[in-house]
Amino acid sequence: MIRTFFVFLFLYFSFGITAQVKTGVGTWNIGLTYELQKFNQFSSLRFQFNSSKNNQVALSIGFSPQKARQTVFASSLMVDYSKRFPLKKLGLGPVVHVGMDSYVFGTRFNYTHASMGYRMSMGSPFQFFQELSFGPTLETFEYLSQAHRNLTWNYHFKLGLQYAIR
Amino acid sequence: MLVFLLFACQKSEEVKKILVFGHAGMGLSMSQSIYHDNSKEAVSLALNLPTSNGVEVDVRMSKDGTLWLYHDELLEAETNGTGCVADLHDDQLKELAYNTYKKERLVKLSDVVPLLQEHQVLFLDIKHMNSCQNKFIDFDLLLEALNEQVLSYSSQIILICSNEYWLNALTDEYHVVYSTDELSEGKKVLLNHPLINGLVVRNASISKSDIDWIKEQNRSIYLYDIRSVKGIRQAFRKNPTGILSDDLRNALVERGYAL
Repeated sequence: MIRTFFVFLFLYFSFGITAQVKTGVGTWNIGLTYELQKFNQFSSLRFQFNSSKNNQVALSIGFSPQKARQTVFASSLMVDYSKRFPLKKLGLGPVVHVGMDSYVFGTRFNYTHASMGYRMSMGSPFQFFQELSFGPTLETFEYLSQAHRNLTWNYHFKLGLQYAIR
Repeated sequence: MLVFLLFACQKSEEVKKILVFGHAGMGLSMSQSIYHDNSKEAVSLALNLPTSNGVEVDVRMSKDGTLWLYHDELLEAETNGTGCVADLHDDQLKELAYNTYKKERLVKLSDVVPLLQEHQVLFLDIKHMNSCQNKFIDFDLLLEALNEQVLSYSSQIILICSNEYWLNALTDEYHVVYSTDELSEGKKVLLNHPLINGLVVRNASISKSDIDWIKEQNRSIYLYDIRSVKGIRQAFRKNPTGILSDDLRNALVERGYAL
């Protein structure tokens, strides 16, 4: 985790020096994201569509390396919408997420998320971004014929690096 | 490579025999817990996770001689009440709730014991001090309360006691383990009290060789203060009888299927 953080920090400052934001209309970005949340960590492949200069919709498909080390497969699917307001070399704006993840251990555990927060982005065609959002998460599972639903607040801290496909 | 694989398999079989319990429900002061420690909701969730061997809770006696679940010495530390559990009546305690957004209520021990499944174990960490009066609670009243409220479940209950003078009286009816921060003291207690089942010690305070020694005495050894995946793996490598984990979900997954 700390190693990943420093790699992204290095990239953040590297892109900060030469950043020129040129997000095009109707273009795509593809990238990698690391997400830390209350119950799990996910590494995701991210597909972002720039519907207009400052409006972005993305789909992230991920898995949990931590759960994989425990020989459990945990998958995640997350959709987000973000608006970007350019501030010199930075792009800063709100982001809204909805998504779910799950893993099977004795039974299937499902986590449904919704969250709101900010996204900060920098650089082109390689773009580094960082997000922090908060919102409710619903844990559901059924075990021994008994259904369990547990609602809790959750945080989503994300670091990502993506490339603009021209 | 073959030797490595054989060794890995053997190690994993050892780990699968280690019992995993939730500490104070789903963990003590853990953000992943969802529910406050020692609440009925936390205990219920911990007992309903697949492969869970049970749960540990903290028990204090009220002025009316009823056993309640509460960890801290003072109620103002975690609830909307003030003072000590031992100085309040049941009617006052049942009105109290934890200072969380879910406002879980304080719960009587007799309300959580029936949640146990047949194969599960409930550890009761007996809090023997009344800090507000700076004295021990009445042992005879405590024993009476235990016999009245949980004796019918005694085969599924293990008492955690940190008062050496109470051990002999408790072992008549219950399985008892001694809790200590000083391992050398714990070893002496094991030798002086042949009827107690074992020890509960902090994970960081004990080595694998100490655990092996305790097991050679045909006693059980349970580790607590295990808050991270790294800590869970470290505890499993020492091969204790069981762990009281603050991250129950990850501890169960790390151990794998044990049933």
